[in-house]
Amino acid sequence: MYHKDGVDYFVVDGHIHFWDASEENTANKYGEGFIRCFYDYQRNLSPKEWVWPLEKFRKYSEQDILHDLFETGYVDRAIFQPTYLTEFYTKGFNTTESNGALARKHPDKFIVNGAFDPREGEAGLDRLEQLAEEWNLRGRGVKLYTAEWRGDSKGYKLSDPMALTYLAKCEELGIRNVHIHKGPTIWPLNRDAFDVADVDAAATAFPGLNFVVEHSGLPRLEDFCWIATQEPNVYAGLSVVLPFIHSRPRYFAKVIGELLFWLDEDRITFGSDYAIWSPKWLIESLVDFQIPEDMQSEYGQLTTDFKRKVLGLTMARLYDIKVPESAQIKDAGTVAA
Amino acid sequence: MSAVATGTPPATEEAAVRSRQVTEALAAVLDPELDRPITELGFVHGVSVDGGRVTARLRLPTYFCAPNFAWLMVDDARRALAALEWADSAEVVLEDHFASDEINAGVACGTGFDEAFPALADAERLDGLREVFLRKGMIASQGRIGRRLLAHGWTPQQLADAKLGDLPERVGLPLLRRRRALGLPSSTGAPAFVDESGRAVPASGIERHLTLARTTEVGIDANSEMCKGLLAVRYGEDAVLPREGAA
Repeated sequence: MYHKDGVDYFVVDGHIHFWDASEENTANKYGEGFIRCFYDYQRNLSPKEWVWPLEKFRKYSEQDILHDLFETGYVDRAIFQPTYLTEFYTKGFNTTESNGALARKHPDKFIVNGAFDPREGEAGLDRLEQLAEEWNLRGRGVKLYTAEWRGDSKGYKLSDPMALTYLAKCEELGIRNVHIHKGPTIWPLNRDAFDVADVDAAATAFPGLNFVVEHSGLPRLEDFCWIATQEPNVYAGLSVVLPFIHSRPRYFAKVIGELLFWLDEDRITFGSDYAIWSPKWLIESLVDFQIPEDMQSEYGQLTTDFKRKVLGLTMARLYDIKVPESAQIKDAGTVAA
Repeated sequence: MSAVATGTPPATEEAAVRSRQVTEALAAVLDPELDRPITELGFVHGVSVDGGRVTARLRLPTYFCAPNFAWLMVDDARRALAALEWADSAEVVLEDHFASDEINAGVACGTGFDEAFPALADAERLDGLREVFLRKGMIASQGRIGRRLLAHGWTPQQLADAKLGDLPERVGLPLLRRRRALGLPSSTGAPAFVDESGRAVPASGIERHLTLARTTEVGIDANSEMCKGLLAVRYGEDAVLPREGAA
């Protein structure tokens, strides 16, 4: 919980990782390139005091994550979004299993999501079923990385028939939230696979599932916004977007302004993308932030209630997380999904 | 070569002219993803002209910048320099990139991207990518022009009726360049505000067209905002011109 000026902000960090990119686990130059690309993101957009040494960034400890999120970072609940990348890392980069081990130790703090890859075909459907059972994914979610390499394939689309079969399986298993990475190109992943158009077909076919587009489709913002205006079950995830708030505040104002213009304030959600960025400075910055005055005629202002929804209330609704009375918005017009 | 014999200006003046022409040529090379000239982005680290021999050195924001985009820029830069009338040889060297060797050698020999990077090629489809970004740039460019004209009192109807020839030259030039590159109508009589496939936008659609163009521009800027920071992380703050706060 974050308190500022008499307001309680319940915080759900909707996008965190517990990865291993240690040298021992890095399988090839692609794995090396991937983690260094991540590291450049941290160095680029974080305040200086939040930049880690590369060694720590490659592999951080359980103590680090507990400290940065819950002891100093105001986070009430955090959601693991696994990213396997088994072609780049011997034991995988950030798997449901490695996330889940931590979540089991701290069930009041973490929620672990699953993942699937439709290129695994029929066999993968059974695996998804086992995963859902083992990690109790009912009412929770999956993270999809459409750009992930697999054999000769450099990615897939959510609109592929097999992907739709998997989504139907999710619905059957009670998995409610589908997080899809659609963001800036991270070498060596192919950017075609970050195209957002395939979300449209999936969201139309499954109105009962919520689709959280992580990184809001940047830099394909207009494509994402266009889809989100037509599909009420499509959400914007702010990881990668929010960190611009520190060194590029006017740019951040533009993106959040565009999102508010095309979507509505109940469909924009916070995620730190830890350990790329840490929640403490992101949360403090967002609560203090306002659209610069000369841009308000175009984009309006951010209200306190909007910030409360972004930081936790919307994600709490998607994941059925109980919010303390003090942090709830009185007379909220929204009802549980 | 002999400057005196051909009656061209004295050598030092000639060198100055040539060096200016090199800069101008490179200014027409866009980062395909950022839709901005590589000269503005701080990607040109140095140029040298030695008679008819011209060399440019490029550097990018990260060691692991996607090789396909790096390739496009190096290749475009080499073509732009080779097109200079006086250039007998044009070389572009990409520095400090994990794939510098492959790219420099491949571009110099005219090898295709696919041959230089067989593992990445199947899904990259370089020309398709180039076109996607040009189209986005073309739309974003209309947004900037349209908002400026509206601020000067133009009405949506006037925008819908406007031809390319009606736009003030400086304002219209970036749009014209992209229209030409895309093979869309670019004569003075062609409509100024068109959708992605070149169809004129009616007056009733102008407002939405310009809003979507604004959003497109904010999207494109995500990369340039990110890359400027990355370049500064790598080469120091002086590597790029500050842009935050500029209109």
